[in-house]
Amino acid sequence: MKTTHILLIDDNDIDNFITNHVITKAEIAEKITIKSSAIEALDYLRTIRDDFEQFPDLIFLDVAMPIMDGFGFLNEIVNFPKVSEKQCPIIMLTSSNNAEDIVRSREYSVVIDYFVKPLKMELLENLVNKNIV
Amino acid sequence: MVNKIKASLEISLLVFIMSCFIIGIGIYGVIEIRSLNKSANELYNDRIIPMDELGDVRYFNSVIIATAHQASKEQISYSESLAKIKSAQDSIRVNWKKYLQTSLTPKENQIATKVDGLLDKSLTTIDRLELIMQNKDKAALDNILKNEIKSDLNPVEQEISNLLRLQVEVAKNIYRDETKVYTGYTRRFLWILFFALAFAIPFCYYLIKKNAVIINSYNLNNAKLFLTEKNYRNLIEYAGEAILILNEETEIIDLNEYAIQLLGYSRDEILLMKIAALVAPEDIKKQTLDINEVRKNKYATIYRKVRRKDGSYIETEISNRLMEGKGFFAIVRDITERKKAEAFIMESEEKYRYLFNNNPAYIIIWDPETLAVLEVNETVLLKYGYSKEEWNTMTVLDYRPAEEHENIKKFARYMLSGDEPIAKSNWRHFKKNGEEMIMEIASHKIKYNNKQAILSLANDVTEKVKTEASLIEREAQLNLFIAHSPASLAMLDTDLRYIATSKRWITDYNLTEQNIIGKSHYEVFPEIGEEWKKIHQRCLTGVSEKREEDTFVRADGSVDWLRWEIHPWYKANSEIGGLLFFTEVITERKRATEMFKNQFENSPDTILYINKNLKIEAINRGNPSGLSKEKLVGADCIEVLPEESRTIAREAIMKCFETGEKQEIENALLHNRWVRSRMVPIVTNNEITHVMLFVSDMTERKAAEEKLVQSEEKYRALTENVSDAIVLVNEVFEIEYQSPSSERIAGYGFEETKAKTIFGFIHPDDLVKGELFFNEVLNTPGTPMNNQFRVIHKLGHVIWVEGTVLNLLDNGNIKAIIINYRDITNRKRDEEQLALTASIVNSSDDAIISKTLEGIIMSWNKGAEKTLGYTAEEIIGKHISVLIPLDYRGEEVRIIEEIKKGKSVEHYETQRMKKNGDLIYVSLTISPITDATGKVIGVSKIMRDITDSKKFEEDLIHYNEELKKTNSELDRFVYSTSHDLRAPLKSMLGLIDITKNDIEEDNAHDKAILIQRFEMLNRSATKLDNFIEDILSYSRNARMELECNEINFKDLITDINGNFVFSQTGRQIDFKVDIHTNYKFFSDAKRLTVVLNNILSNAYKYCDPSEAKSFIKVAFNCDSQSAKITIEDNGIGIPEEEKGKIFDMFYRSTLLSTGSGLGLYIVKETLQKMNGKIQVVSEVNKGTTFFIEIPNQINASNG
Repeated sequence: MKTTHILLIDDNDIDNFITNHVITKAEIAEKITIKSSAIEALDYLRTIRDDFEQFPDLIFLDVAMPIMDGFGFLNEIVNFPKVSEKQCPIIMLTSSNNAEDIVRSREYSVVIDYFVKPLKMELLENLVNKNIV
Repeated sequence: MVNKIKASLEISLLVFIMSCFIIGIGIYGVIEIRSLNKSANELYNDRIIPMDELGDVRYFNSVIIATAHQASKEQISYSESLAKIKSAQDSIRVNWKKYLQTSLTPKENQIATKVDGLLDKSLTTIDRLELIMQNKDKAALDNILKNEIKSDLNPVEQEISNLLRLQVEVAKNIYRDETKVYTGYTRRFLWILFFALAFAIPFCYYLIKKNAVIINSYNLNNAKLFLTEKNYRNLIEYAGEAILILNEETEIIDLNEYAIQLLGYSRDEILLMKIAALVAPEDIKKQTLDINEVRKNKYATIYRKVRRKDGSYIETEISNRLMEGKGFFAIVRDITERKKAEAFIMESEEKYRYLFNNNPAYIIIWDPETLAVLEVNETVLLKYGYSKEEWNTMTVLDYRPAEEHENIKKFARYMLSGDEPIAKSNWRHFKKNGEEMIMEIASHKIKYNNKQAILSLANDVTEKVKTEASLIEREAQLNLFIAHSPASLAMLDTDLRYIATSKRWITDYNLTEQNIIGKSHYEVFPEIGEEWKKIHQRCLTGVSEKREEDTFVRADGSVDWLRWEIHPWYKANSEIGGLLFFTEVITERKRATEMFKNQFENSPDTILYINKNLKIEAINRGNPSGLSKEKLVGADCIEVLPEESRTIAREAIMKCFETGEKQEIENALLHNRWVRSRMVPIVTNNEITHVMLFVSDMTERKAAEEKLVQSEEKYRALTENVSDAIVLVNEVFEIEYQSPSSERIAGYGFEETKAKTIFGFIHPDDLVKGELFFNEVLNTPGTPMNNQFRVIHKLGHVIWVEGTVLNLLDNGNIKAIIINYRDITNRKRDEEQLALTASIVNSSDDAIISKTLEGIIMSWNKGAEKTLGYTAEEIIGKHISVLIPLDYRGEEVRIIEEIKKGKSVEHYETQRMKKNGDLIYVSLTISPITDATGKVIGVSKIMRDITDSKKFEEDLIHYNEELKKTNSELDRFVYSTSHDLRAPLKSMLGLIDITKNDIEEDNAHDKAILIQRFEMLNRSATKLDNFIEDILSYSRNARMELECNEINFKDLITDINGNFVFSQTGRQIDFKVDIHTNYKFFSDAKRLTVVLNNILSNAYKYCDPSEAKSFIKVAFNCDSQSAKITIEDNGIGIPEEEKGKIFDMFYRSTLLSTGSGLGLYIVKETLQKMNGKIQVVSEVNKGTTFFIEIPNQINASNG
């Protein structure tokens, strides 16, 4: 069974803490990486761009972040091989269910879902059922 | 059928094609296989076998060597080895020879030749070896083994091996070729197969479909057939008659229920019985004949006695039809009853026949449709004279007169169609010899031979009729005579009852409404006195009486004069049948005569009585010209007239005679006298027999009339032809006369205005004026006076009239006030219109200008003066171009073009120049001015100054843009705010949730964990609180007014700094304040706090952690005008490209930013409200300095 590696990207450390806690409890990941900005995350991912093993299997991405927001990150990430081959789906996390954001997220086929914070266990169970993890 | 043929054709075609294909493929396959076979053959013969031979050669070569070795090692005897070697050598030779005979490739040949050489050598060596063996020379053996054997035999082996390999190679090639052939063949085969299938499959499909159709139709036919049969079966079963179906041999093969019942047999019994078995014995012979008949004619109706099962016989009528080749179809009807009935009828018929013939009356039976005589009885035969044979061919018309034929036909039709069984009437018949008879005939509708017929029973009434006829004739004549008598005649019976009267009698005595025939004379004229009755009675005795003149007093008291005669009349038997009255009412005549005489004599006119010959029959006095009455009688009335009048007189008199209409002429008599002659026709008995001439003298009157007419003509001409109205009124203003024009103007005819006062027609509003005016008129006779009034037209609308009034009451001839007036409504209206237009133009704010087509300004209103600055005097007469800026000159020409065409230009926006040179924006509406004929004679321009509205438009557009900007800013604000407000809450919720779960699951009993969680909650809550605070301060700033007070800057900044000192970063930063001020500083303390707070907060947040000595310096300089504050730090700095954006709403420029992004935005807004300014200088990694300037409100506050 391969290692499920989940990447969390959120500028709010509390939110990261919560997401991390929930994922850990759900025991759906072997490895969890946390980055507090989209830029940091990109830098990190560029180093393991082609390494399918190292590259995360799932990314939880916050929408509202300073300097580069969630959509800016998406624009950069869609060209990464594991992402474009749909081996690394992305789930957007947000504080508000702004309709415009939801619509905009739909334009990216790599985004498989849109959760409203805080992340709950049930949502993760859903993912398991769908064989995402 | 055709389909079938076609289908089979197609199938055949398909089969044929497929066979061809299979055969073709087969043949082709066979060909290919042959080549393959050839290859295989080749392989075998040319490769395998040689290989075997070569192998042998090599083997035997080795054998020789081995044997030699064996021999040298003394493993075998020399002789043995010799034998072996010999046999080997032979084998080699043989095999090599064989090999050489096989087909060799050039390469093989090459090697073979080589081998040949080598082999020669080796064979020689082997010969030597054999010798050695023979000699049993060991030493030589060893020697040869060491040297020649190796050197001579081994190469052979080598080459043989090569040859072998070559074989393999060649074989391989052959194999490859074969394979190619194979694959090629396979491919081709598959393609052909494919095409064949591609053709065959659709074709098969098509065929199948076609066959399906055929099969379907067959099925359908079968179904139909089945149905038909069923129907047929049903028909037979349920027919109302017995039906038998026989086969060719007249055996019964089928029958229905009826038949079963009729014949009494059961179905099984009767089937296959011959029909003859059912026939009564006596009819058997006929049966055969009848069957043949049916066969011949295909159909026959046969009457047969048929025997039922129980032995009883029934008479039947059989309708037998031949079914083509299949037998007979017989319908059997039981007619036993019918036969009985027929027999019975036959009997009765006999009886009737006897009656018929021996009847004394004349009986004729005839067909009403054909009118043919069907039967006549003996009596008829005797009477009419026609023979029996003749009667057979006759119709009922033949013994009647031609004129009756139509009637007979009608009668026949009537009898046919009508319900009347009997009709009685008289008809004329002719005997054969032409003698006429009148027959009284009773016609009965009967059935004769099943047809409608008429049985006519006739009686000869000829004599009777003749007598009757002549009697009636006589009577009619008499009645006619009486009725049309011109005299008043009445015929009465002995009881004085009316039998007949003449028409005259009715009209004379006004009895037209009554029918007096049968009534008594005394009933009709109750007023008849006793004397008359006596006279009547006397006449009844046979005396005739008459009287020339007699008075007769009617019931109503009126008196009539009568002339009468009474005669008795005698019946045929010479008895007195009654009285004949003849009277003539002469009352009118008497009266008329009297009156006439009176008038005639005493008339002032001369009266002549002229007859048709124009002769004077009577004249009432002598002619003025002298002739006496007597002399004139008998003279020609025309002759006594003067020449000039004769023609006209004659004409008139003749016309009067012809038309019966009164005539009137005026003619001259002698001595210049004028007479008027009236002619009246005199009618006697509806004929104009005479003309009465009434002649009156009118000489003088004529003269006077002439004069009057003349003057009247004059005046009439005058008044009628003047279009002005003339009204004459009396002293009380009643209208005595009005000219025709009055009606035209005011609508009232003279009948309507006559004797009414003029005030009745004047408009109520003008009445007062009118009264005053007319009073004036009364007081100033002879002087014409003018005025204008409104008058109500007959139709109700108001018209203006202007008139001249002249009081001529004193004038003897006229004695009236003459009012002469005309309709000035239009003029007045035009005047009003003009005045209105002028006032509109003048009062309008818009410039209204008119100009000629050449552009010369003709009118200029007040609005124009205001808008353009020129006065009317200055500009009228000048050219319009003084108003047009140079750029727009071209417009004018274009506009004029449009105007000349009669078109208007509306709302044309352009610019014009005022007197002072200013340019204004204007909207022009330009229309043509036309004359009465529609020709364009000028241009009218309305010019509106739209400079203001234009500016307004521009402002509006500008504000709209601003608004859009604000709206989008608002959207962004809402988005960011909602997010930033919710995010911390979401975090808190998440934390709470997981902590709760952890506690429940017993995982979080550790205090440290709980404390950590609460710490995080605290952080989120604080973040939220700060954000809300920011928004509130922004809001406050926007809403509230400045509140200025004296500010101690040092205290203020120290307070603010206090918030930061105790934070973690705050401790390490060195905070300095530098204050220079000579003046008191007044400003809004709250707002200043917000500004400083935000800037300091940033300074603390963005300090450079790598810097050893972080500091924040605040400097404050204040004078009377303003306060300048600088806040300098050595923090991380702001990148050049971001400096412009940092004051934007929600802008966070670095990852370290944890705030809302509103801080500096609020600072900017607040300073703006305070009329302050802010600038920033910064360098990354060096530091940032903010320069703030705030006006000192010291004066405002004090003021």
